[in-house]
Amino acid sequence: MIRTTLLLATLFALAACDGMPGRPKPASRWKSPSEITDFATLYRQNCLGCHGMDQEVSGSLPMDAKTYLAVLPREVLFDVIAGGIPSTAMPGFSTKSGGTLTEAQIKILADGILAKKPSAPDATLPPYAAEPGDPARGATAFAAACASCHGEGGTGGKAGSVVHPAYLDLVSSQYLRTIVIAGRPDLGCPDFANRIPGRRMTNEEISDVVAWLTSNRKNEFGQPLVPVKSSLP
Amino acid sequence: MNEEPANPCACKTESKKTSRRDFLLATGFGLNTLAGAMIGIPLLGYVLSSFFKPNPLTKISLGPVENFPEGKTRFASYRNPMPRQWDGQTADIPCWVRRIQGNDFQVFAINCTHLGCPVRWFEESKLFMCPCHGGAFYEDGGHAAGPPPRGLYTYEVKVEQGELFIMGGVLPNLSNQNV
Amino acid sequence: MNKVIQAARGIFLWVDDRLHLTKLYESTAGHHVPQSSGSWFYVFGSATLLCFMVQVATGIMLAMVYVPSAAEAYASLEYLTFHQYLGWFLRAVHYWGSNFMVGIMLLHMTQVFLFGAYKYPREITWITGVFLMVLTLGLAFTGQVMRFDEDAYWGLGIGVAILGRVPFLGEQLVNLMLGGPIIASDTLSRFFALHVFVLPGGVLAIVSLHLRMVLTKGINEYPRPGQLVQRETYDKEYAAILKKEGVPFFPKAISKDLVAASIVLFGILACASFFGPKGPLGPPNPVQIDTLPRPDFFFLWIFAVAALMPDWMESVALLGGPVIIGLFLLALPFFNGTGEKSWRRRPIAVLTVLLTYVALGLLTYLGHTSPWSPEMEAWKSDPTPKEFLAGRSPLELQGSLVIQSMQCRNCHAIDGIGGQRGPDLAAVGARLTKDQLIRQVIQGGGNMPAYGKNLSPDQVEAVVTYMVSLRPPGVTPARDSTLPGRPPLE
Repeated sequence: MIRTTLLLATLFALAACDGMPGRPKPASRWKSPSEITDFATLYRQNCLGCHGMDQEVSGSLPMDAKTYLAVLPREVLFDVIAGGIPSTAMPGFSTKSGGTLTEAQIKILADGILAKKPSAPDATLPPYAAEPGDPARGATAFAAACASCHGEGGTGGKAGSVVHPAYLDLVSSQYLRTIVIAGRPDLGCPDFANRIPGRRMTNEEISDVVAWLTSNRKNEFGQPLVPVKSSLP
Repeated sequence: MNEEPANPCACKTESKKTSRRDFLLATGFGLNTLAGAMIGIPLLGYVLSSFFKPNPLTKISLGPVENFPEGKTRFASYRNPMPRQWDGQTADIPCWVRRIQGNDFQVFAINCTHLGCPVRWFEESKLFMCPCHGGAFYEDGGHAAGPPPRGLYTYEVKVEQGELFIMGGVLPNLSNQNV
Repeated sequence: MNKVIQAARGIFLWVDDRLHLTKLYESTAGHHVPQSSGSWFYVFGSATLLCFMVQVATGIMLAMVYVPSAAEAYASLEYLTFHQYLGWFLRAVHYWGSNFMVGIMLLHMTQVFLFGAYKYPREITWITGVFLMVLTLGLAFTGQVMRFDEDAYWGLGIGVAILGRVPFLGEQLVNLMLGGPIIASDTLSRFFALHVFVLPGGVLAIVSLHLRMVLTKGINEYPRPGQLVQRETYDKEYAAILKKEGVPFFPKAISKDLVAASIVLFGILACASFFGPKGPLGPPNPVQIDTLPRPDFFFLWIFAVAALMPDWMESVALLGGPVIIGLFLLALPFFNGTGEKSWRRRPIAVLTVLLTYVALGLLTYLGHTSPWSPEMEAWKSDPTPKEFLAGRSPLELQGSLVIQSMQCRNCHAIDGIGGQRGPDLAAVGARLTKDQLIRQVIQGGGNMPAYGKNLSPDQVEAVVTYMVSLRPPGVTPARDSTLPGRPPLE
């Protein structure tokens, strides 16, 4: 009797022992950074610093701006994450361009970001990219669409200057076009459809405003301007 | 223990016996010392062999120069030139390759000059940063900040027929990299 | 019945006559100790030895599965942790046993120091103890290498970097430690031999000497203030104490040791079953450089010292420090071998202990948090808090992006988020003027790299404009004190 009890007690102790909370879970096994395939983790580790999430104010374009996602082609997003945008703050993340992400991980990021794309996009969206238009007409369009916040000639107002030469040198022309189309919902800047009361900005107006903005690029700081060559079409 | 007689000549037979015993004792000691040395010296030699081995620098290929874009610093690795079969992953030695332009290369050891931790390259700020004690180095390997006593260790570089070679195979530290 | 007892007695006497058990008992476990040494303060020595025995038992078990080969050690560790039945538990007991052993050894040493037990005539007891401490720390370090993961690999690298600083012999010592010019299979085999044969063998040998000294020179009586140790009289005094109040160690004085032993065992068991083993972390793959090498708990303070020391004294301190501490400990019973034993009348001893503990505690805490290390991922994963972005102009927003993309956040937090190496930037605009910020960014200094070559003038303009805007609400930007119009000091 005593022997049976002891035996049972030992077995029970052993079994309990193996089930103690200190036992490492298989999930706690070390994982190589290249094995991370979870979008939320990848985004938090690589994108959150600049692009924010969930309508928090962010430094650069938030990756959940609806109009932005609606016009953004998937290939462009993939290429930008992989290769970055030269001469801007966006670095390339692929191993080929010196980053740490594998192609599969970049695909996961691109797909995850585009998963928030509105399912029924507006039929009259302007194209993501286009040739710059006419700067002179752009000045007029700017006065109508943007000057209420950015001031006359874009030099100030409550939203700040968009013609500061340092600013214009640090952003790509495509970035300017993207902002004109998509606005900055996190900062309260409306998209192309809601800027001018009563009507949408036309594609032509958008191209003209971008042309006018880029015509303000000056070499103010004594260094030859690096032409902002976008890898985008 | 028997007290030895002070004068061996006092008793002839005793003295003979004692001298034989003494002789055996001395022989015993002597032979064992000799044998002990013959076992012990090879033993020390075995352990200390690495002590006297000159550090072998071997010419190692890092691949064709086209793998390294000009003006960029890229991660590269090579196999330990004197591997054991059971080295596993530890035989893969990482380094940072900076192609300044053309055949002008700098190859840095991964090890921080402070305490040997792996430095990481940041393309945007053009800095190497160390995760242990915050040492930082410039693009050319120069000391930028933190406790490291000198700039990054560099490998001797050779470019032959479009292929990049380094002289490697030794873990760089302050004792073998006095510059 | 009587016959049975008679027979049993006969057998016992026969065994005792052949094996001399009674004499063995009298000269060892039954040796007389002062009754006053049966104190709770006197349990740490036996507890350290107990930890060692736990380590030997679990170590033998682990060695039955572990493969000391650079190629396979990691796989065998994973097997032990995740597949071998109760393998994780043995690893955990071995890991926590080592923590307990180092900790309790430290307590034992502290007690011996404070109670003056190292004084005449127990100098050799103390000296053997110092060697045991060195061996125990050696076991701790080599044990950390046995857990052959990324921390082990880079821990070896740290050892190389320290040994490489030895003048003249550095290269040879590095080769001796690694078994070659590089961390590889020979290194692990060598550390395995040290951890499993050489160091435990040394501990056994020196522990026997240590215990032999306890038997020949006796255990320290509980010191009373004012009772001074003198070479001429102490032996007689001690003999008198033993005569007056001596009790056999077993069974009269051992009770508290036994209770303490069970507390230690339960402590190890509890920690092992609730917190589990450590690691293994990532594989010992040098190419996998996405790693934050940190030593185990007991060496964190050295890790902190290496970060905080001024550069110029680093080599001297890293190499000379252990030698000086060792020599001090070895010489202690000779320059302070007599006189007062009680800590109540030895303020310098008490202060030394307090200082040591405070320093070790603080350094360990700092080593654990390591605020001097850049946070390698902060630049892309730590967002700028929204109150530091809201209401900023497009140029200032670009400045915030420069701060992110140029990895400034790896060292500079904004409102506590980000690296802790440099100053927090949350209120930098209130501290530095625009010109000062430009100078700091371009020239660096004060342990910050110079960014002059790596930033375009536009980036400097953006980042500095942004930093000027980083101020608590209602605070004006820092003003150049050389400009006119400065209000008089209040």
